[in-house]
Amino acid sequence: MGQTQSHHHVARPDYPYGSAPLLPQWGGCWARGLSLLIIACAGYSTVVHGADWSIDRIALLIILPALLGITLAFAPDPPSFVSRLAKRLTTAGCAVGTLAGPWLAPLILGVPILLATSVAVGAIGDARRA
Amino acid sequence: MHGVPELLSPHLVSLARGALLIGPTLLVMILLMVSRLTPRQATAAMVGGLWQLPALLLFNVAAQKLGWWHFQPDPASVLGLPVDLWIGWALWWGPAAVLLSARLNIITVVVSMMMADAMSMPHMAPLVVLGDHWWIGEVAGVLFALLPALVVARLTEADIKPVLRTCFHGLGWGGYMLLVLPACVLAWEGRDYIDALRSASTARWVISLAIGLPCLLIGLAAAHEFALVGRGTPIPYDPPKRVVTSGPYASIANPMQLTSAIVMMAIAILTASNGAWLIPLTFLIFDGIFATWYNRAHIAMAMPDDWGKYSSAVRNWVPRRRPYIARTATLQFPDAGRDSRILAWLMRHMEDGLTIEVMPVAPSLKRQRLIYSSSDPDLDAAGIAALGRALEHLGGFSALLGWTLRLPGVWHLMELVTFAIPLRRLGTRLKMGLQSSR
Repeated sequence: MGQTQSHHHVARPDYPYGSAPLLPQWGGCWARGLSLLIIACAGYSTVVHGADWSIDRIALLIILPALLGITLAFAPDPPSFVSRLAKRLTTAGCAVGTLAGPWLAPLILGVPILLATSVAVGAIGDARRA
Repeated sequence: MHGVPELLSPHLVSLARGALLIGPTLLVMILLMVSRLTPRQATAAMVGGLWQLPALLLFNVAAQKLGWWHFQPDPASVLGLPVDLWIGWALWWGPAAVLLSARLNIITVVVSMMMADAMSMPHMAPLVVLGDHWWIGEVAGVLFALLPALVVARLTEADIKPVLRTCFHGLGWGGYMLLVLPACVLAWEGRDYIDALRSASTARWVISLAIGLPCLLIGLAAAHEFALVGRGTPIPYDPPKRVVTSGPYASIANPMQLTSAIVMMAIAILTASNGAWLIPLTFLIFDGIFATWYNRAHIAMAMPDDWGKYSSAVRNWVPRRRPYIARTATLQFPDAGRDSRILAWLMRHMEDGLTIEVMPVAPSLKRQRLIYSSSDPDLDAAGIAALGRALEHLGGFSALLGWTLRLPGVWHLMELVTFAIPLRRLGTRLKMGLQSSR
């Protein structure tokens, strides 16, 4: 009691992303291309570091970012250009992450810069179209 | 310590660590692919995972102190918890548990996960060395980490109890700000977060608490406002369903973002860490650019009129001198004698948009409450919450007091106090009630 609530919904009930199932985009060109890039980077990194690194280190620093990147690549694309770009840049960041070795942790702090870049590119695109 | 029948060789330890990280990751990937999740179900799984990282880190600090278990020393660990096991465990008890509980009975999932631990952990030495009472730790972990994750995920999926969900998010985000992020950054610098807190000077503690505590309070009040008025949470995938303009949002549009950055600055001061200053910087880059665009792209498109009015009146990063009150409201005093001091004070400081009415009522045994009736019915309130809402009209410290009074926990306590104190007048009221009935 005390803090009463009414039921005035301004946004639609399934705001903001709707209610359609999230299906992997297996046939997406970008998804396939980025996944190949990730596999190539992870493969290269494994060849370079495989002899020196233990299995757990390879799992943490190469396989984990690769799997996260592939999952993100095949996740459904958001409708807006900026969000799509942010998603693709982050996926490409996962590819770079497989090569980063112990610099993977500080690289994560750079994700907001990737997101900001996508907003900046989107703004430039909007300005050109205007 | 628990008996260690056989030790894993270094090669097997490495293999086990890899498997405990990649196994849950692959399981979550497969479940995501085959589950045909709606965005809300995916958000629920994510929320379960977000809960686990701070919960498991805090829980493992306690487990080591209480002698339940400890992990093999490793350079890639945070407060004694190896990073790979931490991530794998968070995925296993987070998204994996949430997604499995959508297909299986929740009790089956919890019991299966406990049995998996019970069967595997005694054979994991020296990766994890168990204490004599490790099973108490296992039960405590289920109660502290696994079950809350499943509960908050279920509430998120059903889109119910936003205030309770926000309490989880408030605790979780507090865990990220005060534990996970600084502990990770200090571990990267080769330092121990708890040692850094222990060795911080009194001056650093005083400065950090003076900066950080009010910011934590404002951040909590803002999150509470999202839940109470907007029926959503601070998670961008589970946002409020209307434009929230009250509470801290009457003064500034980004209260949670700004206060989070300031809290992280306070942590950087407290720990004397150069790396920790990068966290508020990244917060500000993210919130200042991407989150601002996100608001424009989502909220402004979904609720253009309300957002347009609000964003033209309230700035993102600079607080208003007077709060933005987009409503008219009446505060009704049913018992001016009892609350006369508050009434007199409010009438002296009364602001635009707030009318005060004194409602003469006959003596009654029924509890008499302050009532706040607003042109925006989502803000209607009674009792202590009504006083809190009224104080918001005044801005400044009064508004801060009002937000605090309405916070879950504080509000419950104040309601109890204001219920208990008048009981001493019960005899008088009984007599008055009997006289009036004659």
